[in-house]
Amino acid sequence: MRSTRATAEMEASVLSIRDLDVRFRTQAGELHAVRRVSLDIARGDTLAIVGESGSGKSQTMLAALGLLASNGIVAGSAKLDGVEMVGASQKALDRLRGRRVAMIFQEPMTSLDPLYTVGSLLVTTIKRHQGLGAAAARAKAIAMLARVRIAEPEARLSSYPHELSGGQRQRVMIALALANRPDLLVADEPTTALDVTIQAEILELLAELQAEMGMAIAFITHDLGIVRRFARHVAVMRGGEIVETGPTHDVFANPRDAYTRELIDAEPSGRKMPIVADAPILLEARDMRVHFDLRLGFFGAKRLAIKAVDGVDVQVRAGETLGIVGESGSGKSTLARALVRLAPAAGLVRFEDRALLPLSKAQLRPVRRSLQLVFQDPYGSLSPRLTVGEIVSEGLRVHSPELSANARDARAAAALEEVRLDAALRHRFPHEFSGGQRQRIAIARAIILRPKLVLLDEPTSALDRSIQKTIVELLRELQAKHGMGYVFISHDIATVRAMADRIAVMKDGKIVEEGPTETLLGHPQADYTRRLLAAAALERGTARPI
Amino acid sequence: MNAGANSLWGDARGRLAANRAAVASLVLLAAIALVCIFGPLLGAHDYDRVFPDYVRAPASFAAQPTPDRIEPGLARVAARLRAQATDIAATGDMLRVTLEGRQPLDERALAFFERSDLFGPANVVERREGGRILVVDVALERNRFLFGTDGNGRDLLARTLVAGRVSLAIGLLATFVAIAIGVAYGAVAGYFGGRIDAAMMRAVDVLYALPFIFFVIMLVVFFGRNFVLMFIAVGAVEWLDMARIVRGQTLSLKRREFVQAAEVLGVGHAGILARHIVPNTLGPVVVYTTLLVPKVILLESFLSFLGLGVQEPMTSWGVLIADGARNIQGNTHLLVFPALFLTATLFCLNFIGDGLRDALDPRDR
Repeated sequence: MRSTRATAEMEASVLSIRDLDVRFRTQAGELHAVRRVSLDIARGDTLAIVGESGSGKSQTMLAALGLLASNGIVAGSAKLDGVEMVGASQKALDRLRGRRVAMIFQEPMTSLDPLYTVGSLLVTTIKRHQGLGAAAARAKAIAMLARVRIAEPEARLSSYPHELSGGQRQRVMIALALANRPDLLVADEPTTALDVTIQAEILELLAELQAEMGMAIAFITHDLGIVRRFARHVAVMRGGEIVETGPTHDVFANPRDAYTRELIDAEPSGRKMPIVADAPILLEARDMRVHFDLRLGFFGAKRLAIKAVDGVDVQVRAGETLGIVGESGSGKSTLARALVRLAPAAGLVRFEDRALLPLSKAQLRPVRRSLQLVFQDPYGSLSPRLTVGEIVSEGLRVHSPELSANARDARAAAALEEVRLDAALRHRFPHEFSGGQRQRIAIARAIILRPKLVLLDEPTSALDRSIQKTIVELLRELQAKHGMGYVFISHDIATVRAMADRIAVMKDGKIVEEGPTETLLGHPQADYTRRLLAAAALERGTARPI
Repeated sequence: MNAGANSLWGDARGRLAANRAAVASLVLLAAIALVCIFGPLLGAHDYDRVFPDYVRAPASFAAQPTPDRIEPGLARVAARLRAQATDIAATGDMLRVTLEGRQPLDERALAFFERSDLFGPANVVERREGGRILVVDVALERNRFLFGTDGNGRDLLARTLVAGRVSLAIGLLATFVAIAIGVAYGAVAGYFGGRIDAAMMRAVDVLYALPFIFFVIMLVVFFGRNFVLMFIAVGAVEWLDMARIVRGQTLSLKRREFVQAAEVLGVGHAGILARHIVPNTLGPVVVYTTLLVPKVILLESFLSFLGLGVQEPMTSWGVLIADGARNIQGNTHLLVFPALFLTATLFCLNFIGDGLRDALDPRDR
């Protein structure tokens, strides 16, 4: 009885992975990325594979589709509709991929070939797999673009990928993937690189298309909000193994594994302590503008002014955290850069008692000690050829030249301990650290000077959820200890809610709404804020499932 | 720096060690360098000693003089004594020769034996017919010319090794000069950008446009032929490439966040250049260096080939090869051995360069 049911299940599943094992040969020895993973995706079902970076979730699917990097070794079995994929010839795989199974990737910027128009990409795929003539394939391509809700599909056929926005590119990717009506769509973090409002649209589109076309979806993501709302089944991966699997509702209601519980609770929680009412004003900017002049054409004949920041007023009191929220391109990062004079600004910026903008580089130097910036990308903001100790103590070299090398080293060790890193690691180089650890190093570099105000430019958005949480806690703790003010820039409402006293919402270089955190999030006034919050609520899974 | 730290360079070292071609090249290059530096000190012959009796002797493991050279050699010495050599009997390194003249022979003239490159001192064993006939014992002076000798009868092995010193020294020193200037110039131009960059790079373009040979001839005309001139000429031209490479690197580096982070910390221009920009350009610089050394050696060879380089009796691989090329008919050894050393060195440097490029490539890190 049991065995017949098992066979029936096997037959019903589009993809059946058994004991899949993936190893990579590397310089440092063999890396065991996936350990005996077994998975089934039923016809028309949605399975979310969840885990943090490095958990092997992408490698499992890549191995199943025969797309591993050349130094990967696969063992086990992955059957697509009963056809073995592991060890299949390139030719056999090519027949299956694109027709029976398709894949969309995280980065819509790089996964579309920039040399071809959208039309030629789509038409080629359709012609190849369906044996249609040019005219029929073109008609089909237009229909497909209309289906993924691209406006003016016929005109878009002759567009190149760089002419499309991120969301449009991801729509084109989906059109490409679904053009041949595959049985299985593998979506590897398809919304991670997109803004929240666009994320929501893409997810809705995928759900609609699934209802229409009936393909199964394997959804690889680190974001549990998406899982809860989008997937019927979920498999949680950690360290190359599946730690828990089952229907999404059950897993979320009763997580059996400790790690799953940890993931579910990973959203930053708690609130910041309010500041005293009469705290002095630390930073004040009035009518701040950052305009970039683009010169186009020969000899800069055509001029195009981009108003990245367009008349912004901000104010931060000592010990206060101002959250700045907005989508990419809203000018929030440019604002932070302009405040520390990394970008040219006009208007008035006053820090303590000094107007910053007229200061020369040398005059600005003493101010820099109290005004620090932490960048978004923990990989790019640490010099790869310096040890962590040298990186952290660099500010002391400038601002406390009287310190001896030993004293500097001791201060660096103390600063590292303050951000909960082992001080013994200060002789190592940045590439040996994980993203979260690197962000801690970047924070240590900023706080070693005991600044009064730290600008945090998306300090958590490049990190996994559970690590985001620890960074947020660390930042709050450091603030309570040293009484620093923060300007916390993020597109993630949950993180800002946990950090900020006041929130300013930015769009197209302007602040559209500003107010105390709970008031603003509870009773948004501006239309744009409401949309932003709605999208974020969807993402967090507090809204209705699709 | 902590020895246990797994630095980028430590990582690169590991990758390089795994690259067999590069390691073999390193070993061979080290061997060539050591032989060139210390070989002439140990070797039997000076590079400028002329052996008139061994002009264009072929390369051979056998000790000279070979049996077929002994008789003509004896005949030559005997002719100086106004005598004829007969009854030649060789036992080991000793010869017993009967010299017969028309008049009594002057025994002082036996010194001609010693002056020859073939023989040692001669001892009279027996005098007959009032000194008209002398029986003498002559020691053979054994010499080995593993690479043969050149058109002036100089030991090619000694010359090749000494030439190697010159070529390697020029290769390394001129490269060092080019890199020092190029890195500093390129980093400054790229970092400050704008008008400074434009002015500095146009100056580079002007220098690029200068014909190299014309430039060298001009230097030679003004300063006369001089070994140091080679360094200046080669260094003055080769830094241009380096400057462009480093400038390009710097342009992309200065937009990286770690440079901006340093700026926010208040680090000055000099500090940013020295601590953040230059160290991060070193990967390509190291690789380019290994490609530049062979280029410079070739350039020196080229100049020497034209007669603008080092002067006799000092020599370099380029000079030797030029000489060998002129004598390629009949005396191939003159070309083969220096060319072998030069090509081996160039191959080694190219393999090391390739290996370093792969080792420092962060793509699959």
